[in-house]
Amino acid sequence: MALRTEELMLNMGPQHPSTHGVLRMVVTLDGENVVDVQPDIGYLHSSVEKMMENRTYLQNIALVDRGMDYLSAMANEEVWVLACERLGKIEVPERARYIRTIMLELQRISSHLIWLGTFGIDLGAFTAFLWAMRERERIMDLFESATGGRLHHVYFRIGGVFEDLPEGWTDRCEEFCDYFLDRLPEYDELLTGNPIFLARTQGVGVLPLDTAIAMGASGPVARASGLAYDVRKAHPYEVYERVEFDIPVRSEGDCYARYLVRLEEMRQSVRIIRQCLERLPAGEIRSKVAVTLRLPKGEVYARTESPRGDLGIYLVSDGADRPYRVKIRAPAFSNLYALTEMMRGWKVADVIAILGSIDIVLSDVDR
Amino acid sequence: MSAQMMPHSDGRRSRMVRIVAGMVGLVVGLKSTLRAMFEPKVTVSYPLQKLNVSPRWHGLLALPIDPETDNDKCIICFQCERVCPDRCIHIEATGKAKDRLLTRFDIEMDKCCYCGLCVEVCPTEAIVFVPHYEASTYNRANLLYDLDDLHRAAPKEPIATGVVKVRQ
Amino acid sequence: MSWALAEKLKAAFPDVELFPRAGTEPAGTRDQGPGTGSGEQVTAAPESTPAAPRRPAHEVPPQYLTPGVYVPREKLLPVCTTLAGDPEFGLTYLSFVSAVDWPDRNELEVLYHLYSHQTRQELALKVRIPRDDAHIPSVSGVWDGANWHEREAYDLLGITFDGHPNLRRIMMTDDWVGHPLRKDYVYQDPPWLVEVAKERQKDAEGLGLGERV
Repeated sequence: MALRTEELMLNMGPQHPSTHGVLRMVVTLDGENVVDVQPDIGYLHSSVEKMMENRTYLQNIALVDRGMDYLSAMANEEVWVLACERLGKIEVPERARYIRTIMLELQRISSHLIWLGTFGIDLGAFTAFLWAMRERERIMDLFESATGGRLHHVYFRIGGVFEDLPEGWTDRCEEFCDYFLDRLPEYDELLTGNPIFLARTQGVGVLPLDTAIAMGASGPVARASGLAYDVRKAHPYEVYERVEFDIPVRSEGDCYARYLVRLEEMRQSVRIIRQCLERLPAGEIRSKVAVTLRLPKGEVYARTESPRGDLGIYLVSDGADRPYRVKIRAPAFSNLYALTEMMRGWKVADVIAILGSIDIVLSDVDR
Repeated sequence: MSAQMMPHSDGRRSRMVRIVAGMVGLVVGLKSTLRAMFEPKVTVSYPLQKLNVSPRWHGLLALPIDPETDNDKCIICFQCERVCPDRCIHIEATGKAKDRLLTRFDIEMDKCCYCGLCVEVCPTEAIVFVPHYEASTYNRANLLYDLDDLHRAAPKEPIATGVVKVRQ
Repeated sequence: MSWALAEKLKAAFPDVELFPRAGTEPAGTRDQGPGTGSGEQVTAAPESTPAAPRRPAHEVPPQYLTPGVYVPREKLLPVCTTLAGDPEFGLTYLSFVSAVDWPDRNELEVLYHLYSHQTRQELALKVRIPRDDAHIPSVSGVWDGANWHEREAYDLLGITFDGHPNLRRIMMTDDWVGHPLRKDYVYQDPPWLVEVAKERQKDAEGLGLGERV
């Protein structure tokens, strides 16, 4: 005799420890299998794009720090100042460009560490979280001594950076690089080779390459699916064309591949930082730009590789002292959309692992 | 596609092998964890021990007193008020030109986003950050810092925080 | 950034119009076709004439640093299908869909940004539609990723994407009134929020929460 069965709608979030913020997922279940997932977003929507229209170009640096992805404030500042500099044809001194690259890569490590820790928690490995925080704290200290802020730096300026690095900062940064490379194998012991971790991530949440491109996925999520694309290589900004680094690409497209890609990216970031520290030139750190900057009329799209992927800003200026329209292309927004495809067919327990593996930050999704 | 069709990578291996591999993984993980036990402590017990912040720390704002004039260095140019992204600085003054007198300098610290733009644009270094981070109160109204509070918040000795100011 | 793709598209679809190029002469000479070169020196052009007299800001033509074309509304779907499907273009990746509101021209410019991972080329598409008749065909059938971006543009700018599978608000609540990113949008507290605020006010009275201690 066949049992009568029906599909079950399960609400995950908006308050749920594994959704990494205020994300609600409406999961349709057939028994334990996921039939469909509809992420419901917008809980953290603050209309940054509208707010930016009412602030000057300088003030917006403080805004993009907070209003966008709060775990990688430097990357947000970078894309904003890059758009302004391209439109205004503003020169950036060499030293500032090197400093920016160092900061961006430190930010990438710190953002990936947060992800590593929370991903570990999602899968039941709490130690990884504490350790990732311990490492990240060192980066925060570096940020703090150079910029004054730990999360929100307001350090980049249109045409340079705010202040020069303090004395001894480069040595401490070098020290951190050594320390961090020493620590990374510990994560291999803890996670990479751990059979429980492998069983929960290998082969889980596969995103095929063509789907990834069609759905607009970018960053580590797309690279884990085999897309050899990184804005730092394809359209170099700052000094990325002058440093050597590799783009880790995996073809599996599962949670484990996404994990490996990010882990390798951290190693590559250290490599970039070391090269930059070595070549850091002396000189000016900021070119002269008026406080009330007026950019010429025009439009530009600037894109960068944020820790989460392809972060872009389409800036429309009408010649006033504040932008006419800013469109922020948030990587997590598109990556989250690809989630609907990744989750179909998996068990409800895998939902957590898959969501954790794409590294969303809800303030980036909602903006 | 159903989940059953996508086998886990170690699905072919026997249960025994998986159990042993799991135990080994646990031991390796525990080894790392145990090693961390004997490493120096990285945390501080906060209210008892306090962290030193860097000289550039974006802490509370203050108007330090200049010992020469026994007054703050504000020249009432309204630049900080104008540049503030959150519009949390309110300045009022009486008099004209050289005889201007500061009658009001309020900062709503609850709105402040600690971006430091006011410190950056100030031409006389009248408004500065102080390395202080305990600003919480039980009452939101306490976060409105007026002129007296801002004078009081400044450290007694002149600010030599090592902040290199960039001039336009 | 190369304008080659934009020019190629212009050759395939005569209806489309290139963005005015920075540093080139105003209308008339700029659409002379692909014979003008690769366009790589677009950004360098203004520097070559430093002695030009400074014109007032409102007379300076806007510069478009991202290559792109204006597409008529009726032609959007065929153009997009070609761009995504034709290997000659290969723009398989849609970065975003959004729009710019120009109330003084009574116009919404719907903006698409496309990218090709193979050739590393980018192309912006703009479709001008009237503000009071903001309808446009959905491209979510061409690029799956357009789905949420179009929902966002619908939500924040009030553009209806015809043929979209699930055109609901995505950022704002379902009962929200107005479209915040339009230039003439004025925020109003929703009635329920006014009620809540009144209640809170009543609760807080007499507790001295507004006074300094």
